[in-house]
Amino acid sequence: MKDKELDKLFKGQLEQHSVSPKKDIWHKIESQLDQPRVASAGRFSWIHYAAIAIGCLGLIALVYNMMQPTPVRDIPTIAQKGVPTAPANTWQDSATSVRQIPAVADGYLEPSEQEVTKTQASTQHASRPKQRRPIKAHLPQPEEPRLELVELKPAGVSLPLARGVDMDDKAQQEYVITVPPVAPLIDSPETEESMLASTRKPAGGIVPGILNKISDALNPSDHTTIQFSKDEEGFLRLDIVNSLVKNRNKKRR
Amino acid sequence: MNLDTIWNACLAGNRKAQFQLYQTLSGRMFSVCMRYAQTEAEAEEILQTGFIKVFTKGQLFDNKGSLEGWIRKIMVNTAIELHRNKDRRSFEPLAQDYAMPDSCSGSDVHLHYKDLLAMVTALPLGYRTVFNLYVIEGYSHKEIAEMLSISEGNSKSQLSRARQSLKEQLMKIENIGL
Repeated sequence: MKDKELDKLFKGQLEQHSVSPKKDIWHKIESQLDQPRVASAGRFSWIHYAAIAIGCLGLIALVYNMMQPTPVRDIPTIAQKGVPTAPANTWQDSATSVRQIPAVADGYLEPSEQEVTKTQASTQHASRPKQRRPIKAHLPQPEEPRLELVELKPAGVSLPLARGVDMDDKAQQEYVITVPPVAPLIDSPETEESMLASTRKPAGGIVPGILNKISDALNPSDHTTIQFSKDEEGFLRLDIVNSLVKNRNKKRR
Repeated sequence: MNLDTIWNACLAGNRKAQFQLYQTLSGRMFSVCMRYAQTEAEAEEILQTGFIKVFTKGQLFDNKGSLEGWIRKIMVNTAIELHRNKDRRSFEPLAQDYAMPDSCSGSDVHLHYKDLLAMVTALPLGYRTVFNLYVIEGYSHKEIAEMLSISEGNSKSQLSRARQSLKEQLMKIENIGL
């Protein structure tokens, strides 16, 4: 017998045949059609309650995280008169720096206040925290930077006078602005890394804060094992500390 | 009453209409279930589960094909699902010989529905399922492979072995009849 003949035989006989099932099957179907409604409602309610509970916990964690005061970390402050101050690592340090710096600024800038150029230069230095060290270093000997400036030849810029204004030589000399040479941003390259290390740390953010809280709650005994943080580009970072050490200890046991 | 009218009432949750639909199609659907099941109790279980799916997931029917075809497909899928859940060895080779149907005894060699059904039911689960899907339902080997999570080659092999087994059984019946 060929395959087609066999297929035709079975298909013709089996395809459209009808066999009546037992009568009690419908009663079973009917009873089950009523049951799933109750079961599905119960399942839905359980999932619903679980979702509400998780949402509430997340909301509480968010509110708790936002209510906590954020600690001030290494925020560089700038004095009002363009005088740089030391980074406020501690309150004591910042207080001492505020007390010392006006004296330094007065001593250092007093002769140069008459000249516009030096004041501008000092404000430029003030905006850069990297120039704080040279100012402190020159505190006992304020004369040294002046000697260096005298040796260098400043470039002169003459402003054009307005038409119809007659001015003598003295007046013209007053409009000459001397620009000092641009000082290097970093005096010693060795201290560059330490300067960069003192920059502001990236903010923790809300999400890493919540994740850290959850991590602390799940593992309160060793809360430093898993730490979440956020870098400057916004990527979430996960630090697993001492996890390999734990495994090693387990292996030794 | 028209089948479409009954179906619309079924979608509205009318229990009488659901009973009418069950009465109209249960015979043909039970026949489908019998081909895929090994026992009558298993066929009843497939029929019951299948009709519950029909009534609870009726919104999924898109009215593109025939309603009977859609319900038949549900029955077939329910049968495959049931076998999968029971974790049986679906594709084991044929180990036991086919038991001779009662109607074939004597000189009466005319093959009836029960005889052919008994032959198909006696096939191993893998042979039986692939044979039903390919020969009776008209699925392609690719579709069968997707439905049963097997390769196309495996499906072809199962069909070939099923045919061979059925031919041998038919030859035995013919010889006895002669």
